[in-house]
Amino acid sequence: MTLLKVFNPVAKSVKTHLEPAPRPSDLNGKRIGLYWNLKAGGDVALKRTMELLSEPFPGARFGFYQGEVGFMMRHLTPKGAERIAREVDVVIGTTSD
Amino acid sequence: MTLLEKQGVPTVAFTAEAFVRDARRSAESFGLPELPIAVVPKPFTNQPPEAIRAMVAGAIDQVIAGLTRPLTRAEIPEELVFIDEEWLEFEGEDLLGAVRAMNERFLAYGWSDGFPLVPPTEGALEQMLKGTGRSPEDVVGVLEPGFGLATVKKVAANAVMAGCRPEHLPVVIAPVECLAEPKIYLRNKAMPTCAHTPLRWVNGPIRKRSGLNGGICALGPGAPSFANTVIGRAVRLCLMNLGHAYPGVSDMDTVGSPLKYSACVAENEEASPWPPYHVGHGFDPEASTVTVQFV
Repeated sequence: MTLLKVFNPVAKSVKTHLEPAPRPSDLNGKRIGLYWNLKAGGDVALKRTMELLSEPFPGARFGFYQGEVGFMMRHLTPKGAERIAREVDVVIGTTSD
Repeated sequence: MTLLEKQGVPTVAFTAEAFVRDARRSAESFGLPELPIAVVPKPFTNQPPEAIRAMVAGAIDQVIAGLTRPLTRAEIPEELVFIDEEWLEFEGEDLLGAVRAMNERFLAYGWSDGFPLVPPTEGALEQMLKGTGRSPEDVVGVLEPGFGLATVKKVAANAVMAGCRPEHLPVVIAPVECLAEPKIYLRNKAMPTCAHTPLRWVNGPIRKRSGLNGGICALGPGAPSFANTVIGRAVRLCLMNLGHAYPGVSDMDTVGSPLKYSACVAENEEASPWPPYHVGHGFDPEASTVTVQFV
């Protein structure tokens, strides 16, 4: 038998770990951000989401958001995320994929 | 979504079934494998409004749960294989059998572009590293979407596998360094449903030193474009094995493209009626440059 020894070509990942945001117990009275990256159909999905959440959570308020950079698809920047975080309590997003 | 979670905002994102692996892998790469998703049967894109509305209605409980229930770490798919060992061993009845065993295993791991790979043995790696003055452990960059640490040695290993010669290595390292620049926004080009490929455009004396073709059939195939082909291929392997942009998991290109295997050309500076591209960007004519443009 012949033995072939080769170098592992795959890079190790630079690992980070974030703590997820604490969750509220319900959405009543919450400011709900609806985030869309401009890809087709996402706006329809978020409008429907607003309709479906308005009934069980009548005190919820909604705001629509898009990313600030990009053309066909809009992407969120850290600065944009800071702005949204100041304005809402939770976010529902879609990239349409 | 991870940017928002980092700001203390709970999030949930609609995700089509076909993209669940991609979403889980991305969430893990960004350090938040618990990130909740609301799974819908199909992408919203190109669906009629009634179908989108129905899919959202079917997933609304997942939306509420994702925002209001404590999170648990999701199962991360295991299609991708990461091995801690620095050196790997393969056996065969003879050398060709061992090479075949390596190729079959790398293919199964997803580390191959589909063509046979040259084994990155210690000797081959040592020879390849003679093509650069940089230390093997120098970090060329961190490549998205997997945030892989691209050292010179890892780049060299992928260059060996692609069939490169030592004189090609600088033309592989330079675009990898370029792709690691945050402003190129690599994850946006490496992961989506479109067939983006980084075309590399080489100027200056290194064109001749590395044997790059800027003439007939410069994008290959064939002997005149040997250097173009293997250098281009090496960068594709780097995108996969260093950036972890693996097709079907973290590269969701709908159809793919032959250009994604290899796309590297030299400018035919001598025949061009215009100043060389790099000179137009302020470089000395004797400087060697590589330009990366996604096409």
